[in-house]
Amino acid sequence: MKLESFRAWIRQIYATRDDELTCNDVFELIPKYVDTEVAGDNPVERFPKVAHHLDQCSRCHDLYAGVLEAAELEEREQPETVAAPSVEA
Amino acid sequence: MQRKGSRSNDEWLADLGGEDTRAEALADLRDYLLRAVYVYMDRHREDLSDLGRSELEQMAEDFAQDALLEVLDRLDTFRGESKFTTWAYRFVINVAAGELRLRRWRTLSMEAVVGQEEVTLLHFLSDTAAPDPETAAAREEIAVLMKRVIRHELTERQRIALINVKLRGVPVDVVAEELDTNRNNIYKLVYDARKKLKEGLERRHYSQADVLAIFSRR
Repeated sequence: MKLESFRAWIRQIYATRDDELTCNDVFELIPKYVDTEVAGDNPVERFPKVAHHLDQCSRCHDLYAGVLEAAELEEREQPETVAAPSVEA
Repeated sequence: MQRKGSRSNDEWLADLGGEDTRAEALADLRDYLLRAVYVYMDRHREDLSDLGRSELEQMAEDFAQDALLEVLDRLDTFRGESKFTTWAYRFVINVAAGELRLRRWRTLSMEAVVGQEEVTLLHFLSDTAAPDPETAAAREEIAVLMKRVIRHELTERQRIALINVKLRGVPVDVVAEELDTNRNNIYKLVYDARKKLKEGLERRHYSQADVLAIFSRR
């Protein structure tokens, strides 16, 4: 393990919280998280627990990144798209 | 690839449920999913470099088809809290992500996913020389402490999940398959392991800043 990887792991260990979301929770929340980001709002502020999970779980982060890419592509190609419905944390 | 203009969420649901509109809506949705998975596969093309164009196209078609079935199966759970297409993309990306990670790992090694309990942190850190003897001793003390927690305070399943996912970089899907469980439970096992490591370090009064300072480049 390289030094930087180890340091990143140490940060993950100390970031451990009592109330973390599961991968299933995050799977359900990713669409709202992504829509918030595509709309130009800050998803980290609106969904801090999702952001925390994405920092801890590379698999869910990869899923998030893939959905975000697709949603951004759709947004770029269809500027007339109806605005996303309002989301709530 | 041609698509109709964008639909609202209500229009998607109405068209997918309408006798006369269903076929066209399904074809459009499939196109959306296919585009999403092509973008994803392009980002991970280094994992697919051994495949030809027709194989890549077939793989993308299969991912989109599998996801389409899953979307239809879960349609009644869509509550309109996000855009319908964003809601649908996660199914196809999830299918593709799982398969690509399994595939990548299988091409590297499917062996020794379990039974790595004796791997030590010192081994992982051996490629990084400490700048001085005092730092070397401090690093070793922390590594020994973490190793002790891993060996004596984690359950076997927590140990296997932590070592393989975090230290060896084995895909979560692979570890889940090996432990006959699911990704959700692997996350929980790694979470419990993290929590015990944090408690173990804090019990010895090591703060995050302390540990990062000891393992900084100086």
